Amino acid sequence: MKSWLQWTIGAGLVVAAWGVAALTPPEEAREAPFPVRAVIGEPASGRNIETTIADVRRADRVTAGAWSADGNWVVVDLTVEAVMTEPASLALATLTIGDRVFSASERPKSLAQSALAVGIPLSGSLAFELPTDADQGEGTLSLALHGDSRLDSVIELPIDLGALPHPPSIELEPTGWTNG
Amino acid sequence: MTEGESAPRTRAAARAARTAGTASTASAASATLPSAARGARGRRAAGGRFGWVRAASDRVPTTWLAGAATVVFLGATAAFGGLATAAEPGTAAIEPGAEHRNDQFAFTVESAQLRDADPDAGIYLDEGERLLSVRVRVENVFAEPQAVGDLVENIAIDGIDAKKLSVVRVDDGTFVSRLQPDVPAEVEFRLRVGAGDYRDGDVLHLTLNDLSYYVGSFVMSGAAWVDPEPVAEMSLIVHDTAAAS
Repeated sequence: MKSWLQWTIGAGLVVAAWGVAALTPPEEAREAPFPVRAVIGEPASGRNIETTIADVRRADRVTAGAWSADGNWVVVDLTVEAVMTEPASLALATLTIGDRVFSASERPKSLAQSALAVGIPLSGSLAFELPTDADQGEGTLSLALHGDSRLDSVIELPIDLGALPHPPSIELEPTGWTNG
Repeated sequence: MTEGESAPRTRAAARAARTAGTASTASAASATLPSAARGARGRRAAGGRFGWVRAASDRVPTTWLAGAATVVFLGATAAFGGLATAAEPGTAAIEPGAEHRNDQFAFTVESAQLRDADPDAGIYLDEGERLLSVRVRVENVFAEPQAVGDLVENIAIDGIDAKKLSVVRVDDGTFVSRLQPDVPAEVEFRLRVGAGDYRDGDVLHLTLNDLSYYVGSFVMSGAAWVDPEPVAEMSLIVHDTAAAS
C-alpha cells in the first residue's frame, strides 16, 4: 500500500473516531426526562400530567387565607390533572434560576404535593420563596409527578424574572377541583 | 591506554602476565574491559582539577549513611510522639449566638427555652409536659432545597433523639420540611419533655457537625449529605420562660 494512502486512511479514522465521540450522547442522556415546553394559557401534556399555566407573577407579600408572609415570592396560577393513572401527585414543582433550584414552598396551602385525578383538573397556585437578590434573570419552572423525574415527562416553562408582573401583594388561589 | 597496547599478544606474554602477580593481573584484566578502561581514563582526566573531590568523597564513610539516616528518622518519629496513638483533632468550642458555616448551612444556635403550652404559638402539650425549644437562625447555602432533617444532623443535642424533634418556623408557626437556597429562616427545634426533665439553668451540650456531600454513582443514583463530622461543641443554658416571668 502506498505510504500516502496509509496516512490518509489513518487520519480519516482519527477524524471518524472524534466524530463518534462528539456525537455520543452523554451518560445521563439515556435516563433524561422528557421536557414538554409549556406556554402560558395553553395546555401542555406529558405522559401522565396535563397542565395549563394561567399566570406567573412576583410579589413582596403572599397571602393564603389567614396565612401571609413577606419576602420575594414568585406565584404560579395553574390547573393540573393526571392523564392516565392514579395515584398521581404534583410532587415536583421547582423553579431553577441560574444554578440554584427552589422548590414550591410548603408554608402556604397550595398545589404543591397535591394528589391529582385523571381527567379532573385541580386548580390552584404554587408559591416559590426566593432570596431577595433573585429579581432578575431567566428561570425555568418544572412540573412533574415524581421528585425523581428521570425518564418521565417534565412540563417546563421559561420565566424571565425581571419581566414578571409585580403587584405588591398576591392572594393564592384556593386549591380546588374545577370542571373543565 | 588502549586494548591493543595492553592485551597480551602472545601466549608467552599472557603467561608472563599471569605469573607477574595479582596487581598486574588485575590491571591487565581491567584493561581488557573497555568500560573499565574508559573509567580509568576518566579518573585520570579528573585527577587533574577535581581529583580532590574524589579523594574527599572516598573518605566519606558511606556505610554510616544508612545508620545515620535511621537515627534521624527514629529521632524525628520520637519527636512527634513515637508510636503513641495520635490525639484526634479536637473540636472547637463555639458560643451561642456565633454563626457556624459549612458547605450546607450557615446557622446560628441562639437560645434554649423551656415553655408551657401556648396554642397561639402552635404549642400543644399534654398534662405534665413542657416544651424544650432550641432556636436556630439558618440559611441554606447550598444550591438546592435541603430537608430540614439534615439541619438536625448538623446540630446534635446530647441525650436527645434527633428523630423526635419537630422543626417549626418561628415567624408563622408552620412546620418546615425544606429550606430554600439563600433564604434565611428563624426556626425552632421543639421537643415535648416531662415537667421535671429540664430545669431553668440546665446546660445542653450541643455538637455541631459538618456533613459531606456524596453523589451516588454506579449502583446508586442521587446525592445525599452523609458522615457527620463533629467540628464544634457548644454549651447552651436552658431558660425557663415561666421562671423568668
